[in-house]
Amino acid sequence: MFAPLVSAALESTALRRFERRLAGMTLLLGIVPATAGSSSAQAQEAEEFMSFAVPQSGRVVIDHVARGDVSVMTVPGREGRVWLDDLSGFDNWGIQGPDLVRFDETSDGIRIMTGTPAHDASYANLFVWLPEDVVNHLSVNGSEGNITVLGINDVDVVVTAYSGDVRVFDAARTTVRVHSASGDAILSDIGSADIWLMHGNAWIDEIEGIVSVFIVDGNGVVTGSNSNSVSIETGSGNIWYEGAIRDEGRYSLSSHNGDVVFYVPEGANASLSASTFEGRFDPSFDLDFLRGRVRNGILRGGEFGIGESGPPVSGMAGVASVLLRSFYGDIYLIRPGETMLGQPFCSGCFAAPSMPEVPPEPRVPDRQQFRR
Amino acid sequence: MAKDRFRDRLSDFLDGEVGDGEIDRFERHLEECEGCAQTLAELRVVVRQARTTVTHEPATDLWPGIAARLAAPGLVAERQVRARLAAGLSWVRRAGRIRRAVGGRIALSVPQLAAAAVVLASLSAGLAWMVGTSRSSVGELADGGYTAPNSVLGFETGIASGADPAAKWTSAASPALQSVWSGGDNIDADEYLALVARFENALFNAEPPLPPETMARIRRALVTIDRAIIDAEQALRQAPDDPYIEAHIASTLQRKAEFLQQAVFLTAGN
Repeated sequence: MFAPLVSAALESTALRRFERRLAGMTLLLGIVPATAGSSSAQAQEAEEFMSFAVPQSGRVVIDHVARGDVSVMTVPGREGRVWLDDLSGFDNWGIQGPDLVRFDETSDGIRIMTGTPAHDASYANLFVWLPEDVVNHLSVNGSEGNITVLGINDVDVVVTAYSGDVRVFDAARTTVRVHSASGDAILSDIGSADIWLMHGNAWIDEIEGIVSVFIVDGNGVVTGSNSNSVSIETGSGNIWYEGAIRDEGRYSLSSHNGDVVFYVPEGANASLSASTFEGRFDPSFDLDFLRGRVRNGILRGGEFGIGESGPPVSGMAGVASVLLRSFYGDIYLIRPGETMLGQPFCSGCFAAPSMPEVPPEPRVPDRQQFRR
Repeated sequence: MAKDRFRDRLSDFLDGEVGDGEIDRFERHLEECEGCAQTLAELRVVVRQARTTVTHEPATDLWPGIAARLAAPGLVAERQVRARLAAGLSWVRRAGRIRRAVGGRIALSVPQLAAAAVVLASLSAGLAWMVGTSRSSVGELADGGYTAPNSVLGFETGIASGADPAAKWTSAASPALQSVWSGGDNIDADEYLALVARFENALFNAEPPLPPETMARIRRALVTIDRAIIDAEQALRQAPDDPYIEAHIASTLQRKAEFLQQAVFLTAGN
């Protein structure tokens, strides 16, 4: 929903400002033409962005091998644009001018690459503007730094990161996949999400489609969900799910040593299976009891029904299926608006994430909804 | 729901736990029901592997081995890998442990055993992919670029196809991957252990190597997952008949299998 704002800003102030800034960047002087012979990129004057063309329904792959952040946004028209900032280390390897960024044509699109694997000392922040309604697939691969994708819609987005946070905002018609070794994944207003994190937290706010999250070490937090298919698993971390429970939806939350908190809206009809080995099962409201699981005198879970018309049966029409698991942690069922007693989550889990360092304009709006 | 009734008791049938009068009914049903026959064949593979290793004593504590590996962050010796895998990863030994814990009978449900087969297929296919694509990846690296692996692996099969996340395990090894692995159904326990050892060696000895900090994170993640497996094992000793713990072990092993597969993605992307 912010794409138009971004585009408008790019058309006016931002472009002019970037042009002025680029004019003062001695490192970029001499960027004429971009990778002659292997690219559809258009040669640009030194004072302007590097630009490139993307075939209709084409794929764009961005490989930011250099260290530094990557920001991807949209721009009107049919040409994409690239801008590098805060460069260092490239000149040590004799890389300058057109070699700073490579544009390689592929069979169905273009690959944009900065740095090479051997030049691990190189650093640059990379900004890419993609033409609207042209690209149908975007892959962003970053080595060390944050990756931000803003306002990219109707595109499959795949982000692979070794170190750094991944942020994808304002992509309600987009399927986002994140594959990261270290860093948080922060997604807001997106279509579907498939997240795989080794070490980091997943924050998803406002999502309509499928949610699939796997984390080895970190928390999984989903708020504002309207999904009917949710799977969140973490080995070491807490899980928080707050959103709709759709009829016949499937919701599976599992943690090894963290707590699981599941919001149940009034009026939801669901078949619930909850189980914890060392923790306790703690619903804040009455459930239709089907079968309990008690160990050492503590309720550890069981099979329950949620709904006003008696205990529903799994698989029955109109009934959602909810599976909650934790080995060491507690499982909480609460109603929207209720507060948690005992503060089961680590402090800071819901602190607002820091905002990406994108160019002065367009500025990413402050995402207050992340604040808790 | 006669089919379900038979299917749910296939494990009993396999272990000779059904009465004489039922054997004929089972066998007639198996002649008619292709699904049950297929499931039974898969179960036989898993159980056969379990029987080949059931005499091995399980490691009482995996932690020393893991700690030793952490203390030596360089190349992972195959012996160490094999020792850890033998204790911590192999479904074969897991089945053996559970067999002992519950009094000599494998008490896993059909879905759990089927999951074990998926783990095997996933790992096998992942390794086959790794071996099959490493050369081209290196070639492209020499040209200054690399191929993002996500577009050709099972990673895309979940959401892209609109599949439910709950079905992810069955699609972890995509059809393309399965097609490059021809021996997944026929490997025995030793082959399996060697396969997984090679898989991890490929991960830890990748060329070009992953950044040291990424390698350290992978090791820490493996420790986290192994710790979860150990926790569940210890819990199973306390409550050997707890189906939740069995399910937890099964799911944790599945997660470990997926973790290894996804970690290889990172290696290839490097």
